[in-house]
Order: sequence, then C-alpha cells, then structure tokens
Amino acid sequence: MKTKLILILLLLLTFTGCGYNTLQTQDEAVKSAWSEVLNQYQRRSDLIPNLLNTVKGYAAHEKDVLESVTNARAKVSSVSATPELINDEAAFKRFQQAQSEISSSLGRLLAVAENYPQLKADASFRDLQAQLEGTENRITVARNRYIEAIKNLNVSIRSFPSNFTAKIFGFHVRPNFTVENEKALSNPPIVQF
Amino acid sequence: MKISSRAKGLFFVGLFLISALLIFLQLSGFALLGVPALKQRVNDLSGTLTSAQIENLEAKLNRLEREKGSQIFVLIVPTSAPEELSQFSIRVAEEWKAGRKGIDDGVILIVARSDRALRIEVGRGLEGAIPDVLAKRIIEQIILPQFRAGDFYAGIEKGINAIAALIASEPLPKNSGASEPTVFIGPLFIVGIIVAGLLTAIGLSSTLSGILVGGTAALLAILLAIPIWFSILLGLIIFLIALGRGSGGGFSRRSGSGGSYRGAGGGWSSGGGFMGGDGGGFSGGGASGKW
Repeated sequence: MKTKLILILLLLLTFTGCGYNTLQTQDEAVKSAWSEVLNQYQRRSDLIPNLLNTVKGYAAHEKDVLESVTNARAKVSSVSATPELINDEAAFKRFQQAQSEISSSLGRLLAVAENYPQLKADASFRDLQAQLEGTENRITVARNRYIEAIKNLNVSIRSFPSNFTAKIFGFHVRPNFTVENEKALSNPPIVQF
Repeated sequence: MKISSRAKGLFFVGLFLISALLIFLQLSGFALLGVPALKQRVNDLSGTLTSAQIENLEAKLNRLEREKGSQIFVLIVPTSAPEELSQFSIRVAEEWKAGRKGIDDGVILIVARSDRALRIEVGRGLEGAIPDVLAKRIIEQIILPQFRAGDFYAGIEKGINAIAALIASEPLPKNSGASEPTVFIGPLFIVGIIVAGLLTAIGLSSTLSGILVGGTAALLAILLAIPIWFSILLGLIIFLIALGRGSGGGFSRRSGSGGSYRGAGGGWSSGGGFMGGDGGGFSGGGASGKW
C-alpha cells in the first residue's frame, strides 16, 4: 500500500514537473520572440516619414502612392501592437493584415521611384533604401524566430503528457503567421513583353 | 508453412528500413543547402581564391580577433539555391555564431559566385558600428567595383579592411588576458586530484578532503572566468574521485590511473589554434548586393 502511494506521487510529480517548467520556458520564449517582431515592425514604421519626405521632394504628384503608404501606416497604429496581441487571434490577424498593407504600399512606392532617376541618385534616398532593406530582412528573421518559438510551444501543448499540464494551467495553442494571399501567390505572374 | 516469429520480425524491420530510405530519398530532393562546416576563418568552397590569398586573409582576421576580440568570417559558395542569399546567410550565422557570446561582435561576409550575390551579415553587437547603410556602402562602393572588374580577392580584402576599420573605432569589451579560460581546466583538474589524494593519504577522511579540494577548485575556476556551472561540475567530479580513491585506500595504488587523468587534462587545454565561433548572436542586420 505504501509503495503504491509513493508510486502515484512520483507519477503525479513527473506529470507536473516534466511538463510545467518546459511550458513556462517556451511561453517566455514566445513572448520575447514576439517583442522582437514588434520591435522590427516599429523600426520600419519609423523609417516611413523620412522616406515619404525624400520621395515627395522629387515626385510630389505621385499622390495616391504616397497617400496609400501614409494610410497604411496610420492603420497599423490603430491596431494596438502590444505583447498581449498573441493571445487574441482576431486582433493578431488584423495586425498582420495591416502590416502586409504597409509592405505592399511600400513596394508600390519603391517601384514608382524607379521612374525618377534623380530620386534614385539621391544619396539620402539610397540610404533610406538600404535601411528599409535591412529592416525588412530583420522583420523576416524575427518572424522566423517567432514561428520557431510558437512551434515549440504548440508541440508541447499538444503532446502527451504535457497536454494535461497545459490544460490544467490554461495554456492554449498560439496563432501563427500565415502566408497572406495564398491564392494570389500560387498563380505565377504573367510576364508580357 | 509456419514462419518463425523471428523471421516475421526481421521482415517488418526490413520493410520499415526500406520505406524510411525511400522517404529520405524523396525528401532529400527538396533539401536546403547544408551550412558548411566552419573550418577556418576564410572558407572558399568555390575555388575563387588561391591558398596564398586565403592565408593572407586568415592572418589579417586572426590579428583582428586577437586585438579586438571580434570575429570576421568569410564564406564563398557557388550558390545558395534554393534559398535567397539572405535566408541562407542567417542560417550560416546562427550555426557559425561568429563573435563573442553576449557581445555579439561577429561579421560574416558571404559570396555566392554563380548567383552573383554577396551579403555582409552583421552581428547584433556591431549594429551601431556597422549600420545597414554603411554595410551597403561598403558593398556598393568598395567591394562590387572590384567584383565587376573580376578581381574577387581585391574586393574581399578591401571589404574586410573597411569592416575592420569600422570595428576598430568601436569601443568593445576587451579580450580577456588568457586566450581561453578553458586552458586552466586541465591543470586545475590534475592538481585537484593529486592534492585530494595526498590529503587522503596523510589521514584526512576521503569525504573531507574531497569537499575541501573540490570546493577550492570550483572557487578557483570561477575566479578564472570559467562558467559557474562548469566550475561546480569540476569541483563535484574532484569530490567524487576523491571519494572513490578513499574507498580504494591510499595514493600509491592509484598512480596508474593518474596517467589517464593527465591525458584527459591535456586534451582540454588546446589554447592556440582556431576554435570556431564564440557564440555571437545575429538578428538579420547587414546588407546585400548583386553584381
């Protein structure tokens, strides 16, 4: 009888001991990875006013492209980008959408800038381009690390036996970044000469 | 006909192995380019540089690391396909870990010959000294003109000089006096064992001598900048060995095993040569260029 009790106690300990600490560590890893993502998105956001001013100096009449960037940036600030965002699936989706709008409007702006050789030759525009490229790369790296952290956490939450611990302590599967416009991406672009 | 259970077992194992092999072959077609091993500071896998040129660059980078502590590595591959160079580059950086841990002062210059692309991957700690803008300028104004003229060695050498100049003007934490604190582990270990043995031989209980010597060794290790967990482990091992000796009785009987400890100690203190990346972190900073 005594050995049975000890055995049950040990079993309980392995369940909670094994799973709990891992879940905590991985949860913290997710939070810090997410802060890094927010950091890099903010960095991009901060580059935009300078970029717009430089482009306006050469291509002021490209009004709609310039405006679309400004609007996209405003939209992002309307979604409060906090560490809590990853707990709210709908808000996370809205945030992701807003950021991808910035990405596409920036892409269009840079494409338009190609038509202005004086703008392209401008030293500050070139510097801003370099900073933008660097920031986009950092965003990609931060997102990849976030996805990795999420993967580890979600796997723990779903595997046996830590799924019990997860349920008891209220850990839930976290939202992940999705590829936006999957349909559009699967259609290859038509190139016309 | 009755098939023995053994044969059935073998059959299923064989089936499993074959299907595993087939799956592996299927998947390996989509494999990403493996991160090359970090054998030295300049890794030319495309035969672009002569060995004299590589030696020259190695000497330069070695000197920088000794003087400043920062690590610059160079990698030249034929291609980074199927990935973009920036994706491949961050994978290399995460594996090679150029730069000192915590200080993150590493830089990796990657050239993909047939892709005609290159990238300077800057460690987290150097993002102030080498912001993206400056990295881009080094690529566009210093390296690419040489590459376009076909002189890859000049491009890489001038690029490294520019990067090193930026690092040199950055106040970074000093390189520690000892080349590697791990040099001390071997001698510390051997001396610890011998002293513990002596103490046991002169009559101290093996537990007491173990605790005494193990504790002192751990303390000394921590003072010598060896990571704490390793110091404690060292102390623990000495303690356990002292216990073991105590039960065997006397120092003289263990003199044979003393030789093997010396061997293990010697293996650890390999100061000199290239020890690989120091654990530096990267977060995607730097710049790319194409020619």
